[in-house]
Amino acid sequence: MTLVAFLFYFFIATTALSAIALLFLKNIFHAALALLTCLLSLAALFVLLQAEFLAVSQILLYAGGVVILIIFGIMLTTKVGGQAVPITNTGLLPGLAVGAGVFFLLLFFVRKSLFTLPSSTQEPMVNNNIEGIGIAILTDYVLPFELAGVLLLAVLMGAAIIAGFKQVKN
Amino acid sequence: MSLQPIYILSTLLFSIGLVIVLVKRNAILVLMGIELMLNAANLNLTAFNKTVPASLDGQVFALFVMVIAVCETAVGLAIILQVYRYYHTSVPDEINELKG
Repeated sequence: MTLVAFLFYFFIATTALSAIALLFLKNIFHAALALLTCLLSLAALFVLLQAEFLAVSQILLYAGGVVILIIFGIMLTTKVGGQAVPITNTGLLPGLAVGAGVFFLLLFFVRKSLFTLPSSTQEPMVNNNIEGIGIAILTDYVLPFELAGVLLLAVLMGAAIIAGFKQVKN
Repeated sequence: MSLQPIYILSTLLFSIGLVIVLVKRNAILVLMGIELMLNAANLNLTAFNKTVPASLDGQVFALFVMVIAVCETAVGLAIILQVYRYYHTSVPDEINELKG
């Protein structure tokens, strides 16, 4: 087994195990750390799938942004009287049944290889992944790119207004 | 390197995210489940992109999914904070009144 194949299966295993741990952990902070492990292993898988720019964005946006936000949210909400509230479940068995149903249904289609695309033998247009993504974003995808900028501005203002402290007037 | 394990992993991540959204009694954990489902989709898009090396469409799509996911988390957490301030709980089932 080559090193690349070993890393491929290793990171698949860490992703799957941390996702399963996320399902069963009782402490919400530990759950956030399991999510962080899952997202970083996914970044490693993106590198192995030759999507380097996506891997860097995954680390910056998810590990650096989303998980930090979630940990701040945990810090501000889940304590009652200084005591951490354990996570409880409602309807665990029906939920697990639905999840297992979806999993085996999707697995059935994956095993039947319905989604096998015709593998093209063309060479990549540009060898540099980041250069290619930059050109694609600013030519073919320039409208969604600009709209994403507008959306980010709206989200920035909206989140600040919704979460901001308001002076209570009596 | 076969891509079949990636598809199976992405299926597993999506199912686990769905179960977390359905059963957990904590709004922040529900947000984490949604993140997991979006990441499963991203992984699949990137894997499909690898079979078509001449184009980068899948990766660009995954990039936009990531941006939208970050926006959704920011607004979602702001709403959860405000709900917690008002109801003193972050359990979605206990927030059951519509009157302001």
